[in-house]
This record gives sequence, structure tokens and C-alpha cells, in this order.
Amino acid sequence: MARNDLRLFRKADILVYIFIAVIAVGIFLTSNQKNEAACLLINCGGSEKTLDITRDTSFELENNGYTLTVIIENGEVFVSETDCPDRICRITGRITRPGQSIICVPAEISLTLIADGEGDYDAFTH
Amino acid sequence: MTRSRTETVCTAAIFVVLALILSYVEAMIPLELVIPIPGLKFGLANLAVAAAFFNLGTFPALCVSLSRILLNFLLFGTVTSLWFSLSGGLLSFSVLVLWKFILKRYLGAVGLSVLCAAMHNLGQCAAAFVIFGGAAIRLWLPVLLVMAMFTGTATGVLLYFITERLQKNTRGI
Repeated sequence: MARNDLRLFRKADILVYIFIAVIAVGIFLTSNQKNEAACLLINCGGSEKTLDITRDTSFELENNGYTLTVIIENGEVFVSETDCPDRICRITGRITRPGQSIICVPAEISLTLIADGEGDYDAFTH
Repeated sequence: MTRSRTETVCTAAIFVVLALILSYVEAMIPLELVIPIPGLKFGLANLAVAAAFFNLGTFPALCVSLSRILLNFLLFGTVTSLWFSLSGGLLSFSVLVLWKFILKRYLGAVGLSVLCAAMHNLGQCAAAFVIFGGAAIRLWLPVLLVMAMFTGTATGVLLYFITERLQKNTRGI
């Protein structure tokens, strides 16, 4: 019976530990984590475009008769001025992490930061 | 020691129930509060599968493993958890089979258990990679592998003493 060959510990068990430790460290070292937000997804009344946020810039977005002034600064995005009465987009403040967004409903404009590769959350499970 | 088919089936059923109870007990241990990694478990349920492997043989143990995975899925599982535990369970079972034919002269209970735990985690990660995609899954693997070294040691020691007791009773349980 197979059980008769089972010892509590054999010398080669140490090799298993070393083997697994080496693989774990190897995977850890070879994967460089990249969580920085890489670009901004702009949805302006249904038409989408993406913009690199590594360069500082400012621009205006117009839709539905409203104008939003968007500023990109040090990888952070915010709306500095708007003529929309709600001003929700301005109040939202700066967005810095992938998945965050600034949304103006009256102008039908949304600005969403998307990650180049991976976001903070990859998946949800229970 | 020979068993009739009926005895084998009944003993296998007891192992399935044991595995289910153990995975329920495991779910109650809030290990994820201490180390917040999803999928982190002691592997007690697989201990029952390994005990069945040594007590009953390869094929009954495979049936125990698959039944446990399927029943666990039906009772507590989600759609994704089935694939996680199926790939992990089959991969760690393959280590048991490999041990029986090749590795038994080299690996003791502790090494076998650690290897099983590591392969179980590898299978889970592979399933997660297929289901969710995304290269960040591989960051999950090293942590799980390191944890497998600890949980595998614990279950390995348990496995050794459990199988020793089971062998003394010729009727198994």
C-alpha cells in the first residue's frame, strides 16, 4: 500500500521549499507593477477619444451649449471652469487614479482615467 | 487489507462528507482578515482527499476530489469558484499521482503536501488568468506560493498522522 512509503519528512522536501521560494521570488521580481494612470478617456456627447496625461495641458470641451475647461497637471485631471449651473464636474476636483471619473450630465461629457495595463482592481470575486 | 466494493464506496462517501465539512470549517476561519489575499485557505478539505488517496487508492480519491468540488460548488460556490477549485484540485491531485509513481522515494508527507498546495495555487491562478485575464494575476501567485509553504507544512504533518491512524484500523474509518 502506498501509505507504507510515506515518511513524515525526507531530505528532498527541503528542495521543494527552495524550489517554490525561488519561483515565488522569480515571479515577483520579473513583474514590474504598473498602476499609474496612463490616459484619459474623453466622452464628449457620445464621441470618444483618449488623451495622454503625461504631458501638462489644458483644453476646452464644448457640448450641449456648455463649455468645460479641463486642465491636466502632473498626471492629475480636473475641470477648472464651467458655465454649467450644476458645477458638479468642478466640485469633483482632481482625479488621479485609474477608474476615477469626472462627469457632467448637462453637457454629456465624461472624463475617465484608464490604466495602460492594469487598474487598481482587476476582478471581483467572493 | 482488502475491501469490498461497497465498503470502498461507503468509505469514499465518508471522505467526501469530511472534505465538505472541512471546507465549511475552513470558510469560518477568517484567515483573509489576517492576510487579505483572496483564495487563501489552509487546504483542510484537500487533506481529506489526500487521506482518501492513501486509504482507498487513486481512483476512489479522484472521485472524492471531484465530488467534493462539485458539491462544494452547489452548496456554497459561485460560477467562478468552480473553475478555481476544479483546476486547483486536479492539478494538486496530479501531484499525488506523480508521487505514487515517481516521487515517493524522495518526498515525505511535508514535501508532498507543500508541493500539492503550491500546485493547487498555481491551478487557481491559471484559472483566474483565463477567466479574468490581466497580467496582475501573476502578482497574486508569489504571495500564494509563499503561503502554500506554511499551510502545506501544517497539512503535511496532519496528513502523516492521519494516515498513520487510518492504517492501524484495517477498516479505515
